[in-house]
Order: sequence, then C-alpha cells, then structure tokens
Amino acid sequence: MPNHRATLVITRKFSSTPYLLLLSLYVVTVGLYIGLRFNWRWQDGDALLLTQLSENVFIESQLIPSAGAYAFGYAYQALNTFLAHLTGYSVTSLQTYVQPFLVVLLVPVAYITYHAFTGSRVVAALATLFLFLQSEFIFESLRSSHAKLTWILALTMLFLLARSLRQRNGPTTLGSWVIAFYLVAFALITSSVFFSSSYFVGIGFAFLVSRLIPRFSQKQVSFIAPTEWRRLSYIVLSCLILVFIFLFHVYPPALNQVNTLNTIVDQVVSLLLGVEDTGTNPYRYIGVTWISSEIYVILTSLNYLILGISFAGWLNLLRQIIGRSNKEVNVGRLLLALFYTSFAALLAISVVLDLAGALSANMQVRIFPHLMVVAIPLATLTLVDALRTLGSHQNFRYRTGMAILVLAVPLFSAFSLIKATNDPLFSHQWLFHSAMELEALEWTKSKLHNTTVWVGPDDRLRTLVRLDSQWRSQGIAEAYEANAEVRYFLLSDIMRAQASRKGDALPDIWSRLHIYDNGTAELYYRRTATPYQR
Amino acid sequence: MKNKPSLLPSAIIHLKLPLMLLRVIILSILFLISTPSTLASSTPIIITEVTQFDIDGDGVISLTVVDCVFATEHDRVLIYDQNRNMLTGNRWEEITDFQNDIWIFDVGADGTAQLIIDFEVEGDKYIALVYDDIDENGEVAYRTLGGQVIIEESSYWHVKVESSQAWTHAGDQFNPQLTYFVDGYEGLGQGVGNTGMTTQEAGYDGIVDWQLNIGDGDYDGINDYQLQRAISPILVQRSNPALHKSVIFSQVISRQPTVYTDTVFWSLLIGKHPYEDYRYFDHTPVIAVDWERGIIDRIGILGFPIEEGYHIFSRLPLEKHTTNTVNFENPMAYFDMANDQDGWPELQVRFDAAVPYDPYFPFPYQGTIESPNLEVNYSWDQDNDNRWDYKINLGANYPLDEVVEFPDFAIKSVPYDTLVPWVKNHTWDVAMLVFDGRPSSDSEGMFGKGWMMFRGYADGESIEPSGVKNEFLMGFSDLPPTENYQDIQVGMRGEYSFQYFATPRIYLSVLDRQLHLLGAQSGIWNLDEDHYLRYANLDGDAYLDQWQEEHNGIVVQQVNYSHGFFVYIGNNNVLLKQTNIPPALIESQPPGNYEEWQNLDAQLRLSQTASSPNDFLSLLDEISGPEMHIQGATLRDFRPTPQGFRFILELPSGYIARSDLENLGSLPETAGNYLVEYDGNEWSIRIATPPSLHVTDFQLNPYDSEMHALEWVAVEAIVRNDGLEDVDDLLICTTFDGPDGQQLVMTDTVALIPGGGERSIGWQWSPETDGNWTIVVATNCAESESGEGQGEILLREAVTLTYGRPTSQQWLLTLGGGVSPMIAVLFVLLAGLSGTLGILWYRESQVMAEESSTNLSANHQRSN
Repeated sequence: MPNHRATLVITRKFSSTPYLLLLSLYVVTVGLYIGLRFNWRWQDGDALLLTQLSENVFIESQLIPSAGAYAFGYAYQALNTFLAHLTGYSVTSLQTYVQPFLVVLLVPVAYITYHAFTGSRVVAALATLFLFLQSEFIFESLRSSHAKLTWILALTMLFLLARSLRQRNGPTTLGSWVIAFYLVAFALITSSVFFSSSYFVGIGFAFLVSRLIPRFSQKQVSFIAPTEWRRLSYIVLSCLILVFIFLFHVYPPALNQVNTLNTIVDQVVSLLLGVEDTGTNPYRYIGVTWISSEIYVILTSLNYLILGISFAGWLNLLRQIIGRSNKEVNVGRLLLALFYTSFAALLAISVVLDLAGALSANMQVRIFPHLMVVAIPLATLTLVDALRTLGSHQNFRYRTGMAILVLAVPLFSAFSLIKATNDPLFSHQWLFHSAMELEALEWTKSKLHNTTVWVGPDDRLRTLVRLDSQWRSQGIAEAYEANAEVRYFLLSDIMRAQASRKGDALPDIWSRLHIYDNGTAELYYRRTATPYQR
Repeated sequence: MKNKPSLLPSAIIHLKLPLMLLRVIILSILFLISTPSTLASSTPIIITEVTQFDIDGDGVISLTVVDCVFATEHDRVLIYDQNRNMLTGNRWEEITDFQNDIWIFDVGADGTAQLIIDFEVEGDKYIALVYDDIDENGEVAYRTLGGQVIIEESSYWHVKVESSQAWTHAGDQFNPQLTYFVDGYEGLGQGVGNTGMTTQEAGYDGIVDWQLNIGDGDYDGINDYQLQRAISPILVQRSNPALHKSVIFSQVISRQPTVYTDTVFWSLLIGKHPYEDYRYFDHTPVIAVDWERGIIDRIGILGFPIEEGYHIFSRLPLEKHTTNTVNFENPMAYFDMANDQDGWPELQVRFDAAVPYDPYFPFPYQGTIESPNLEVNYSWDQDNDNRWDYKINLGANYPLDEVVEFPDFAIKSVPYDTLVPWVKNHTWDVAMLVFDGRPSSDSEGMFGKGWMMFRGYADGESIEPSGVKNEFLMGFSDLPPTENYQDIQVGMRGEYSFQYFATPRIYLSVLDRQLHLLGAQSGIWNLDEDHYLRYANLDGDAYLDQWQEEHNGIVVQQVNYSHGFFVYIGNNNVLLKQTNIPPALIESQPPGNYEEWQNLDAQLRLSQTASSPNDFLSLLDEISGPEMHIQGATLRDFRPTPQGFRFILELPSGYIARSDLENLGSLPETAGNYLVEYDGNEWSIRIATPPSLHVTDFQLNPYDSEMHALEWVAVEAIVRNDGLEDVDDLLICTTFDGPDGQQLVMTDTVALIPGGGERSIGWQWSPETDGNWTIVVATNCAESESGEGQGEILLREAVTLTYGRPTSQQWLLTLGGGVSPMIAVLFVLLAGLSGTLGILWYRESQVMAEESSTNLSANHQRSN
C-alpha cells in the first residue's frame, strides 16, 4: 500500500470565487455590525480628522487646502472628494456610511497577493480569512481613514513585485509589471508617506538580507538572477527618491510634519521605521484599556498563534534556503521569508530604540501591522503544510487538526470583533458617543466663549471638540484635568458608566451650578471665587 | 581683509604718479609705524589734503580725494561726481555736494571702503543711500568703471535716508523731518529689541523691513518724536516677544538738540558714541557707523532714557493714518519731579499693557485672553540721588482706550500729561509697595529687582511668572500666589495686597517711621541673610499691625498693635504701651509732582528716627504713653478680637512688673498661663485652660439624596475648642478606611480654632468602592506613620455605601438603551458566517485532498 501521507499533492484547483464572495459578505457584515453596534457613532480620531480634512479638500478643491491638510498624504482625501462629487453625498455621509464598507476591496487584493507569495490558493484563501480575523488589521481598515487605501496599495505593490519576479515572459511584459509597480508605489506614497517610506525600507532591507544568503548557505543558491537583484535594489532606491520628491517638492505638509518631531533621531526613525508621534505611552495601553490583561491576551491570541507559527515556518524556510535540504524554495516563498525577516528585524530595532530611550517619549512603534501582513500567509502556509503531514483526510489526527482549525475561526472572529471595536463589555477605552452628548456639546458651543470646558477624562468627546473649528474660534478650550482653569464640566451617563466601570471618580460637581441637562448629558458651572472668574 | 591693487584708476596714476607715489610711501610709513586705531568718538575731522582728478580725461574734474582724520590717524574719502558738476578747489565743502556725488569712506586709507553713500535727489526729496559691509569682511566691495561707481557688496542699500531739505555739512544744524528706511531685520534704531533670528537671517533682500520717522509735530523746528516700526511682512508676522515692532519716543519739553561735534563731512554721519549716556532728543538724528567693522551701528535719535518724556515699545505693529492699539510698554514715562533738570528723572511710570486677545500674553494663553491687563510700575527717587527708592506696583484689567494723536498716526494709550493722575485716580485690584534700602539706577525705574505683578521671589530666586498677572488676575486660580511673595532680595522691603480695590495710597507708620502701603495684607523686609522683618495685617484694616523679627526662621521678637495698644514680646520681656497717636503719621498718595514729592520728603525728614527698623523697643520708646513692663514673662497667641484683642501671658514665679496703665490692675501673683483680654474698655485676666477639642457635628452631604460609591460627598466636621487657649495651625486628618483595605487620608491645616470657639472643616470625598467604610477624624495624624493613632481621635463613624449607578452588562450591551439587544444576534451570526467560511475552506481543501490521493504519481510536480 503506497504511503499517501508523504506524497500528498493537490490536483484540483481550489474554487476560490464562492469562497471569496462569502468572505466579502463576511467583511461587509462586520462593517454593518460595527455601525449598528454604536448607532453609527463609532468614532476614531484619525477618521474624524480625515473627515474634516477631506471636507477641506472638497470645499477648496485643493490638495493642500488652506484650512488644513493631512500631514501624511492626500490620496484618501482626494478619493473622498472624488466620491462626493460622483455620488452627490456629503463627505461626512461617505465617511460614516460608505467608507467602512470599502474594506471589501481588500479581499481580492489580499487574496491575489497571498497567492502570489505562497503559490497556493488553499493557503491564500485561508490566509485572507485570517487577515480579516486579525483585530488590528480589521480596526485599521474598517475605520474611515486612509488605512484601507494604504493597505490596498501596499498589498498590490507586493503582488506586483512578486509577479514581476516570477515573470519569465520577456522584457515587454516585465516592463508593464514594473510600470504598474511604480504607479502603485507613488500612489502609496501619496496615501501615507511615512507608511510607504518604512515599507520601502523594509523591502530594501529584505533585499539586503537576500544578498547575505549565499554567504551562509551550504548549497548553491540561485533563486533569483543577479540582474534581478540589481533591479530590485533600483526599485528601492527609486521608491525612496519618490519619497524624497514627495516630501520636499510635492507635498510640503509632510515635510512640516517631519520638522515637528523633536529630534533628528525621531525624524529619521519616522521615515525609516514608520514610528509615529501619538502622544501616548503604548506600554501602558493594556492596563488602561482592558478590564483585565487576561481578556486582552485571549482577544489577541490569534496574533500570538500567528507569530509563533510563522516563526516556526520561517525557521523551516530558512533551513530550506541555506541548509542542506534538497527541497527547492520558489520565489514567492523566498520573498515571504525575506519580508518576514526584514519587518521582524525592523520591528525589533524600533522597539530597542524606543526602549533604549533614543526616541521621544510619545513616539510609538507602528510597524507591527507590516509584520503581521506577511506573518499571516507564512503562518498559514506552515499550518497547512503541517496539517498535510498529519496524513490524509481519513486520518484521525488530520481530521482532528482540521476540525480544530475550522472551529477556531468563529472564535477568532468573535475575538476580533470585540477587540477591533473596543467593545464596552470588555474594554475601558470607549470609542463612541451618544446623540445626546453631541447635543450637549452643540449647546455648549452655542452658549459659551473664551472659557475652558472639561469634556471627559479621555479623548472620547475631546476628539469631536478638537475637530470643531467653532470651538476654537470662540476661544473654548477643552481640558483633561479638572483644575482651577476649568469653569464648565460636561458629564453624561456614558461618562458615569465608564467611570463606574473603571472605578474612577468624575470631577466634583458638588457645589457646581447645574446649568444644562438633556436627560443623559449635563453641563455644570464652577462658581466664581474671585472677581476675575466668569 | 581683501586688499585692492589700487583704489585709483590707471589714468590718474599716469597723471600724478610721482606725487602719488610719494604720498603712498609717506602714508605707508605712517601706517607701519603706528597701528591704526579708532579715534575718540568726539574728535572732529581733520583734513590733511584735498586732491582732485579728471578720471576719464575729458577735462572735467570728477573725483575729489580727501585725506583726513576721522576714524584713524589717516583716513581717506573719495568723492565721485555723478553729474559733471564737481568744482575745483581745495575746500571740500565748496567743490563737492550731497546731491549727486558718491562718497566712499576708506578707514585707514588702505584702499578698501568701509562705507559708501550715494547721494541723490528724487523730485523734492534729498536721498542718501548707505551701503555698509554685509559679509563681515570689513569692507564694502565696489569697483569703478569710467567714473561710475559699481557697488558689488550688495544689490541693495542697507539704509536709505530721505529729507525734504538739502543735506548740510558736518557741524551744521540739521533739523528736517527725516525718514529712514532699513533693508535688514536688525532695526538699528533705539529700543527695537531682538528679532530672535539667527545672524544668517539678515534680510538684505531689497524689501524694506523698518521705517523710522523723525517728526516735528508742532513745526517749531525741534524734533518732537521718533517712530520706528516694522513694516515688512516677515517682521510684522514675527512672534518673538523681544521684538518691538513699534517704537515711539516722544519728548515733552521742547529743547534744541545738540549737534554732534564730530560728524564726518555729512551732518548725519558719526562714529560710535556712548549713546546710553545720552538722553533721547539731546542730540540730532544721525547714522552712527562702527568704522572698525565698516557697519552701520545705529540710526535715528540716540540716547536713553529722558528726564521728561516717554517712549512706547509695542510688540504689535503700527499703521500710519489710523488709531493703533499698541501693547507692552505703553507708555514708559519719565518725570522731572524735582524740577532740577539734571538729566535724571525722579519719577518713572512704566505700563505693561496687554490688549484683549493679546498674542503676546504669557504662555500658554497667547491670543486667548479676552480681558485686557495692565500693570503699572510707579517708581520714584525720594532723595534725588538718581536711584530708585520706592516703587508701587499696581495691577488691574483696564484697557487703554484714550487716543494720543501724532501728526500722521494715533495710538490708544494714556496721554503723558494725565498719566500720573490717571494712575492715582484709578482703583487697582492688586497693589504692592517695594522699598529698596540699597537703591540702584535703572533706566526703567525699579525694574531689575524686587517684586512685580509678573515676578515674585522665593528660595533666593525671582519667580517668573509669579501667577498674579497670568493666572490670578485672569481668573485661572481661586487664590493669589502668596507663596511667591514671602521673600525678597536683600535690602528690599515688599508689601502687598491681592485684594486692594482702592486708589494707591501710602502711610508713614508711627512705629517704624517707614512708608508702607496703606491696606497692605502682608510684607517682608530682607535685612540680611536669613534675617527678616515680617509684617502682617491681622485685623484687616488699612494698617500693618504686626512686626516680627525673624532669625533663621525663628521669631525672636514681635510687636502687635491693636485698639491703641502696642504689645511687645522679646527676650522674656513683655511690654504693653498705650497710645492715642494714630497708627499713621501721614497718609497720602504716592508723590506725583514737585509739591507732593517735597511734602513727603519733609515728612520723612521730620519723622526720621535713629533707631533701626528691627529695634522694636527703641522704636516703642519714641512713642509716649502709659505702659506696663513685665520682666521675665512671655506672651503668645496675640490676636485681635472684634472689640479688642487677647493673648496668653505666661507668668513665671518671680516675674517683675511695673505699670502706669490704668484699668489693667494688678497681675496675678501665682505663676501660670493667663488669658488676657481687652474688649475696648475693660481688661480681664483669667487662668488659661488648655485646648480641648471635640467634634460637635459631623455631616456627609451627597450631591444626590443618597451616598454612593464614585460620587462626591461633602464631608463637614465642626470642631470645637472648649479650652481658653487658642489652637493655631492645627493639622486635622480624616481617614477613610474602605471595605477592601483601601485607605484615603485627607488633611487640612486649620489656621485657628479659637479658645471657646469652633471652626468648620470640610473635604470632598469620592468613595472609590461600595461597602462599609470607617471615617476617623483626628488631630496631628501626620505625626504617626499610619496616619492615625498618635494624634487625638475626635470622631469615628461608620458608613455603608452602594453603587448608585452600577454599570450592568445589559447597559453595556445596549449602551444605556440606545442599541437594540439584537446586536448580540448579529454578533453570533457573524461568528457563524466566519465558521461557514472555515467549513467551506475545509470542504474545498478536503475534496482536493481526496482527489489528489488517487493521482499521486501523475501529478507529482504540479502545483495548485
């Protein structure tokens, strides 16, 4: 009896169309769920900022509007403006009701990219599903910010790169791949120059690593011809030149953003590693944000599994590439291994720099998603290979492994929904507001001027206020601390619930005047103690 | 420095070569044997030789070379005719002109130019375009071409001066209405401050950055004001607070300016001078050149400050032909209060004004403060030694809205003539008096040291901002920053009131014969290192009534005044002295004119005492009245009461008392502590019982009707003292012990719990959790490690709390009812959908595996 387990190969093509349609339905439903979960008042600072900045572009018909431009690029605002003109809907409506669903465009892009890397439809299909179960990715791409566009372009760029390396059909076809690559690369730069620059550095670093392989390899390595490697180094250099041109000649707001960073180290690291000034300390994140660290670990367990499995897969690939193994490694998998190496190394460098104190306190490492996007296909590849080694479909261990995998999917889906939305059932960091809170803010804005209002202990309502130019024009400042400067306090049922949940006290309103109440949100006025207070 | 091969064109060399050679040799020898040094600034020019040349050989003289002395022992000036009208002769005044000649100043006659002036006439305007060294190589690069001078140093002049009158020669009176233009960020004028730009950002770009006008408002031939203002967009938009975008100098007494005796050919051109020794409007306007460096040093009327006049340094730009709002030092005024015209003012009034939404209001409130703010420094020199003795600082949120007119612009300010009465007639929210026992000169009044609204003093350092102007007067703090006004520089005395609300007044104390701020709340005199006099106003009336001498933080003697009695304690001596002399010998406003200044001086002389301000006994000796002297006794806890005062008298055995006071009677013979009270008519002496504290009432007042966790509760305790002795500075602690071991300690220091009286003490408490809490009110708990126990426990109370608004899972799911619970169904559906995806993926891969297992050999190398 032949040993089937050892030589199992796939003979029939994976039927991807119904699978991808179902996956698209899933992604759209996730968008619908998030909208309904918070009555379409799910808010995010970046999304609100981009709403305002897209409005600026729409109103002024300028990529760099005088009312304010996005510091990282213009592509997303341009897309919003285009859609607004095309559909006749307002930018705000598009941002609230349309953009979250455009995440569905990522489904085919991620699939073809992963297919190009792994050479397997089975692996690509599962990896794409895992990508949309990864909570950070779903959060980034579902919110109405440039992230989904950026990821569409970044994944397309990787796809084009992988395809161009696999292309053997002559210079003309290769040329069309190269042209497409540069177009997408420039589009990526216009979407987010810092994201793109760190991505290019990652790609460059990957190619640099590849040049070192022959030194360590115990066999003749000839995956890619030397001319191809030269071309790849040109790609990276050309892309970095495009970044330079964009920064210094095309889009001045991006250069201004670089200049705002405190130190040269911050500036260089921002460009090379994608570290961003977020104003928060990321290492306190878990303790402040989640009801328990155990919950956080459970909700993010997919990340650890992916990282662990992908690391094992990376070791295996490494063994195949430089070890004595006779197994051939195709270009896609080689690229995957190289990108994994590169982004993992850059992440490690960023973290070391941050922990070593080379960066300013509020700089935050943002390269983790870069790593995850390549770790997911690598982990899936490893997982599928491992399952195959368990035996045929009739094998109990194989079936058990498959069953666990299939059953884990809805579990991780639930985790990702909870984590991505910071669901109030589990999270302390609430990312929504109520209509009545908005009404209270409007009333405050209509009645006050030149004063300071406390609008909550976190950024929840503060984000709304900060992006409202009328607050600024009327000289109304918002405050975190309920100190002596603060004359007014806006409290709501949501704030009370959140404070109750966290065990925090809200500001003392004991002796304050209760001057506004709409049922669930109130405004209090601190009585004057001197003739100079109003 | 670059050396030019020859300053003169070749044609000239051919014409007069022998003579020139001889001159060059002589001058070179002179140059070598003597190091060229800049001459004294007041030395008039000396002409050594005048030579003329026909440069282009057309028979017309076009160059006059004047060898002279104006900056070194040998300098040279080359005057190129630009209009074929140069005359021949040997008197430069007659053969050259300031209308179309170009003057090249060669300091040291070394062939380089240090300054070039191109004189022109445009219509009815006489123009001088001045070029100096801008690349810091010590010379102004130029070349000549057929008699034409081509300036290569820069395409743009640095300073342009414009006049409606023809320019005059050195030493002549020159009194036109002048306008200067400066192309460069450095304003060159007096008082324009600092742009904050780097030296690389010079701004020599052909855009005029500054305009300076010298005006004669009444057309009497005397310059009345000088206005310099930033006009280029880059300067107007610059936000550096050290940059004064509008600078106005104005004199009040019209005086003919003195002409500089050392002007260099042109009546506007001088070398560097010690300008700070001059007063503004003493001299004629000039362009002052640093000949050593070849740069323009200053322009305009130079000198600072003035005996009678004012200037305005504003951070806001100013426009002509409109009424301008200006801020900062608006105005800085000087008054000859002694009428002695000695060049030194005796009164200086400095305004520091912030306009509504002032972009220069202190950080972080720039541009956000609706209220205007005004600080006045009112400094005067009482003994006319040109040093500032006293200063009154006043603060309030007044706008400056009176219009002061100039010929072609106006500003909102306070007119100079009404400035002093304006200050004296307004009521002020905050007032301080500073006396400097070691006075010094300062061009801005008593500005460099001592307190101000914006500056306090603590731990040996000035505190800026101190919190009065930028927080308290803006309403950003509930209490004034008294902690920043508990110290002052050595030799200075400061007194303040942060709730003044009166016109500024001073008084001469009957006790120490010093001028004090009427209505002061507190004060301090730094006599020496760790040696202070501290003043207090215990009864809140207009006069200071407590003097304490403090050495190294310990009070060594003290005097109190109340209801006609001085009470002294020091060195185991107690003195009670009765007087019917009021606490103030005189009361007045600070002097604002000669008569007031003289009157005050007379009063100060009349009441002068030889006793030092900390020799309390000697000062009390100078006050007549009946007294009681108790030797060996001590006294403490003096405090005024509504009708009189009280204190604890500690009588040891064997004390000696002598008295001619009426009503007090005899003291107890038994040693002990006695409460002595005076009610305005009668004395009483009782044995002082020690403090006995207990809580008479304790309340927990929640914001709503019930107390809940995480909601605020007002905690109030009434502490009563049944003893006769007061309790001062009592630390009261309330400890809240929670059900899970939580402990919160709140403390409060109560200044006084009077003997036989009570005080209410309150805290705001937000219990962090529900359950049973124990509240303990105790005294002096900080002395124990646990915060409880060592002090006296006044009260222990148990309270049970519940969560008022518990956040249920239902609330969290529906977000308080705003979301349908059906959202949970959608959540489950999504999970199911993802599970379907997993199954679909499994089925697809399963089919493949089944099929592939039967076709292994045929498809060994195929990839899917």
